[in-house]
Amino acid sequence: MAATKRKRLTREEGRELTAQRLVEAAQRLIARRGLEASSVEDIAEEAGYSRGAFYSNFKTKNDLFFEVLRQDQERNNAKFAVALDDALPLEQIRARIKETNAGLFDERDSFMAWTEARMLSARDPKFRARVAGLIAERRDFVATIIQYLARRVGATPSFPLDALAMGFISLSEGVRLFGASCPNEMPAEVAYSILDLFVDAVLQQVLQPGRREAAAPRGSVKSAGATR
Amino acid sequence: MVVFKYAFVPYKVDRMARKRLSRADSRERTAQRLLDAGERLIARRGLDATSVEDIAAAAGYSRGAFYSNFKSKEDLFFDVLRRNQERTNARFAGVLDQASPLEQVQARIRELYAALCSDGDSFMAWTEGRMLSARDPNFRERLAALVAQRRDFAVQLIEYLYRRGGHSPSLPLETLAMGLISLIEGVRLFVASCPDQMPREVAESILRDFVDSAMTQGGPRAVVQPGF
Repeated sequence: MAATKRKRLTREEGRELTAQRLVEAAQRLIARRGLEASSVEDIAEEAGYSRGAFYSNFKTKNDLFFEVLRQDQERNNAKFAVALDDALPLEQIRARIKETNAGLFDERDSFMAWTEARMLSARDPKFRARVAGLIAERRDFVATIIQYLARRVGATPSFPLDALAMGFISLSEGVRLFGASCPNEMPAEVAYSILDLFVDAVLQQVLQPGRREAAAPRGSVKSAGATR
Repeated sequence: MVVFKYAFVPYKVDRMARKRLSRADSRERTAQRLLDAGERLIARRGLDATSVEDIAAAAGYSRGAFYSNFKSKEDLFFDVLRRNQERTNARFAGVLDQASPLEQVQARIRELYAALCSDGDSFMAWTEGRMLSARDPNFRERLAALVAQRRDFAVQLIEYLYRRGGHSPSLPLETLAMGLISLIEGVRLFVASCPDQMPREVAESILRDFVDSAMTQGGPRAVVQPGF
């Protein structure tokens, strides 16, 4: 039975399945051992394929790693996108965003991959150029969420949206790095509550309904009223 | 900077200056050179891509000299991180002086902080330390002591600034301290990995605004300038 099922997979589908399994294996291994310590052979073996199968799907390890990040981001964005629903009351949307954010703290493999990506980007200009596109996309996505909240609250953000978005991303990654490296000093619930407190504090300052004039743009960054 | 040079050398300065290098002095010098080389290589290539042989060669010593000073690469790596933290502590010692005007203390903190931020190798090594801790329970235990020291130091700094400003904290001090450390590390990681998207001025404006929001949550704005 399994054989007939497999037969029905076209060549294209089979190839897609192999690529998918390699992506999953890579994310697991990289989180566990680190990018440098995970070889192409290790990844192929973890996925149950040969080195040849790897190279017929990806040119290099970094190529596969980029695909890990791309898919990870796609999944995460999809989780947040469903929260922004005009039909829901604002409080419920905020609760959903918080819940989704908290859920990210359980996604250790995803987080480890992103930190590896940041370290690699800091060292390798070629990889940096590739990952920059993904990070810009994430920044814009977070900016869209902030802008959505601002619209629902009826406020104009008093700080450039792009910078705000990058600040939230940095904060979230910094807290997760602290939590992952020092689970005793900062257990997951504490990590999450710290993130929450900081995000709330910033949003409270930046999105003040009806006090637009009082909250004049500060910062040395060019004011951005809208996302690109 | 004479102050920190001697902070790590457990001998009396006058003896050291006069006498020819004793066995212990020369051993200490070898260790320091290995630490310097280790930090540079680990920061630039990553911990996994740096071998004991690489470090010894870069410092101009043999493998044997390495092992007569450090038990393992991780051992040397931990000493790199500890040495950096001791240097930082030495720089900050004496800054929180009750007698100086608050603005002067703040300006001095800002200056020291800017100097810290310009030390990219030290930051990269520290982030490698966090990643290793996330994966290796033995290293995690060792790093925890350094992290706790950092947190307590941040608590002191924050407490001092609130007291001098005549205000009370909006959040528990430890929460604030861990949140600020996470924020700073997250922002630095963003800058290191995406310098085009987050140039230094943007990073600084984000830090200013976020720290300000967290420290003045619900209260009057900008009463306490933490100097980050």
